Amino acid sequence: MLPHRLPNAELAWVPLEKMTEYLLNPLNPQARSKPDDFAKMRYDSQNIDVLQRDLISVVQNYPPIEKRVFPDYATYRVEGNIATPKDGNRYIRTVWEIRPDDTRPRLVTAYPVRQPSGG
Amino acid sequence: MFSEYQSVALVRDISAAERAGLEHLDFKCGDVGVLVDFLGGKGGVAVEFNMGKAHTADVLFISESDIRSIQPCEIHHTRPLNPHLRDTNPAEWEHGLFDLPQLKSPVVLKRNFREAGLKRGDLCVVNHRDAETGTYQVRAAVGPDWNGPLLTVGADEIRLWERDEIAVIREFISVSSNPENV
Repeated sequence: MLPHRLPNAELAWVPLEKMTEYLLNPLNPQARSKPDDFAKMRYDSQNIDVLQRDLISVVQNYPPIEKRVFPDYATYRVEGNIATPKDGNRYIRTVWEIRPDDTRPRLVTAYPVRQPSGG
Repeated sequence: MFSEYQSVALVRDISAAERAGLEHLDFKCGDVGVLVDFLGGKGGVAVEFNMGKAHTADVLFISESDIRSIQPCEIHHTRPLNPHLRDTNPAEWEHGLFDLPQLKSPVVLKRNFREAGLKRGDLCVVNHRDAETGTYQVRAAVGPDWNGPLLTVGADEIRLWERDEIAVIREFISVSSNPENV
């Protein structure tokens, strides 16, 4: 059974390089569309801290939808709305990792999706 | 061996039945994604598969043994992933933003360019647009850095990388190394 809240959600963190090297990095050839995702919501290299905060708010305000348990780590999928710098909310899918030796949830990736009907 | 955020290709088919991903889609050997994280401490990785128009197809939780690096002699090609993604992944607010290829936009060739060793469906990046002639200079997505030959094409010879298409690797034979073209 899934917990109502991600364990240690209050300790969730987003590595800075995850933002600068991937989510907001227009120079990554294969993921060059990735920053477009967030640019449309007015996130860019000038407000990295805002995106970090908003992604963490997902894990702190919404319950996990799915948990995968592996021998040396577990992943959780958590989805929810964030209030973007652009007007309006966007529904974001986030993935978090928790390890036995570091129980602070750490962001793996995030991307916008259509909000499920009834969600 | 691998580094975070590098492009990688699958070395085997991964079916939806394996439940390795979030979306339960079928992936094929050669499909290209980004290694977004090392998970645990025993070779686990998360690989995110991006499509055109800033869409994510899926995130797979797999092993380092399931992936390999992209080679300089390989080009990024496109293949439709799954028609139902049109219903599950679109974002209407994006419509209109990418109707015309912008500088740095990934685009897809609509025909073969045999003289350059390029095929219909190959990915390129817009390098320059000549407003006077309406032509585009594009760079073929060869190797891990998408650093292939330059090509001048007409606007009707390219299209945008669609949101239901995933990148897949194919061997690239450059003009200089292809005896047929010398």
